[in-house]
Amino acid sequence: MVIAGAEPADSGVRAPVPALEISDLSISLRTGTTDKPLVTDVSLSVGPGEIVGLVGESGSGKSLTALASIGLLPHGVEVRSGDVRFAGESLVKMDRKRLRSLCGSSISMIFQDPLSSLDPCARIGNQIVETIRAHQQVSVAEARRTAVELLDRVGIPRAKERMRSYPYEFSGGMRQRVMIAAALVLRPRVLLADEPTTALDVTTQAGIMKLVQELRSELQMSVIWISHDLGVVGRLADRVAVMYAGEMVELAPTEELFKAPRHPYTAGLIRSGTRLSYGQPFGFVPGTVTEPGHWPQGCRFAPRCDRASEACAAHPALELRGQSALRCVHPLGEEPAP
Amino acid sequence: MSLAAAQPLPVGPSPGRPLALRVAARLVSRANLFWVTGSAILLVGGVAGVVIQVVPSLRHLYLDQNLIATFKPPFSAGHILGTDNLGRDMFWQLLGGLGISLSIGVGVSLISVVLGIVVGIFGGFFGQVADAVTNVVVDVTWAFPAILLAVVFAGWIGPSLTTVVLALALTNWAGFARIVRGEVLSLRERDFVNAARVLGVPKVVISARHFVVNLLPVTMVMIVYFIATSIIGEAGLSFLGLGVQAPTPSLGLILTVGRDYLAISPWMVVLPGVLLALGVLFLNALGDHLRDLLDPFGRIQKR
Repeated sequence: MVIAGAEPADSGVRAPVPALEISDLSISLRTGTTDKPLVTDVSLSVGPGEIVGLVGESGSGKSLTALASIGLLPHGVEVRSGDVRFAGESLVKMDRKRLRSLCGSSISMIFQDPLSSLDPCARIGNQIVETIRAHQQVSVAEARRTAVELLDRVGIPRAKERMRSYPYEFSGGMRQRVMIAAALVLRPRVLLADEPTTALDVTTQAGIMKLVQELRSELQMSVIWISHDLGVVGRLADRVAVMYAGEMVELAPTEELFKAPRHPYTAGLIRSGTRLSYGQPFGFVPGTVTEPGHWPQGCRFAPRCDRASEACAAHPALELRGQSALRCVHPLGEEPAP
Repeated sequence: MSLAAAQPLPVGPSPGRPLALRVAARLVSRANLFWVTGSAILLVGGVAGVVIQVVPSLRHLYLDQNLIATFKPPFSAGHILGTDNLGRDMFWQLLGGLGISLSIGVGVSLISVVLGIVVGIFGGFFGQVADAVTNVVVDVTWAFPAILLAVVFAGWIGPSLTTVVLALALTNWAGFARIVRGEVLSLRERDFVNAARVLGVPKVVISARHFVVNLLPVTMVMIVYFIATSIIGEAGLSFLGLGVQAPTPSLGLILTVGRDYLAISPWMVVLPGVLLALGVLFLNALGDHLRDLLDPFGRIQKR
């Protein structure tokens, strides 16, 4: 049995052992007899201490991929094939009890909306204490000490007093810090962050990102950072995976991806986030994401792609090239992104 | 950490008084003083009614018979509400009856609420099998009339206060369980429940820590409602002779006895009847105001 605490020494040296490995993950919505695919064949592995950004438009399957990893898919949505492995152990096939014990202690997740992620009727401190005590046989006093320490660490001033506060007494950024504290209190190996800074203002966002980076290097924590904001991901992630219509279209080290995006969709995303010079309109990707169930047979991005040709009628396979991957028959080659 | 220095946030508004006090203050300060005062008087009367039965030296107040002063009308000398067929003071009788009614109401509410919360959360949060099983149990219970159950209990352990409480509680809880289940179905999809589950907090702990507290508004309203229905239920069962037995004072019992003397002394029926109606009316109004206070959406609609 691989215990969370026993592993880091190993995996730190041998880089190829991923902390979290998603392989050929397909998720679909089952209603009666129909089976509507929502995510198809996503493969992604995150090394120890690595931050991987997962970007894509709304509905591209980013969050589902993360939720599947911790067995929290909404009702009716199921993993159809593929696997998510944590330290070599399948999380998909794991029995619920074992999964629950891993959740929080080895794998944690932060959600987008920090207000709704905290029980409005419970004190901040109790919510962290209860997480600690769900996993460790410690006294309440001891758990409280740990909680105060961590709240202090994530930048809650006068943490000891504020343990008694209710969520409504906190600002959005503070709440998100509390959530991060709760998620990190057991020093998880993997952190899934589902748009954790989307609801926050820019300065708070920067603070949270800095915090995650510090904790990453301190705990050798792997992070999957889900966002639709390329700017955030660009500053934070080591590698970026781009998802479109339920599949991964490009994966590359961050710098490479931003300097020379190869998938036309990635290029479009980057373009829509940068204003080339003052007065010029934002770039954008024409059209909208095709809804699940109506995906084209061939390349799913083809209907919105200005480089599409007949060759795009066949579904392109994901081509792996070292640390990168690409799903496109007409990649943007050596030519610079327009 | 540098972050701490960068964010010298002012501490939010700290609630000075405890929540219960604040709710109580709002309850009184609103434009419902009439209803709140009425309920308060009822409550004080009920407590007094319990006290005169519990303290042995006070029992003579409602127990003392005076066979030469029977059927005195209200406002007679020494008996503000008159006397009954045995010359017992009606005021103290009614007060005692109110005490019995309210304590039965509280007992029934507590049992119903605890059972309802446990079963409701179990059905709503512990999987489809649990839900199916509890649904059947709730349906069967719901279909079971309290009177029938009271007859069963009366035959089994004899008619008494316990019979009434058990018969009412064991039928009432089902309705509340259904309400709780509905609330839990919506609560369990809330992010904070997901967040707690992702952090590995066991379901039982989530139920106890998060559900119970978030169910408090509906629970408090239901408690008041249960007290009101139990008062009627108790009066009904005692009227039929299945409940409280003489000489314990009970509104239902006074009604039964009074029925025989309706022609010569109608106040023996009118007084407990009016008290019963007023009690239930005030309690229902109190429940309504509690709901408005505790339900933020209802409050917005009212303004």
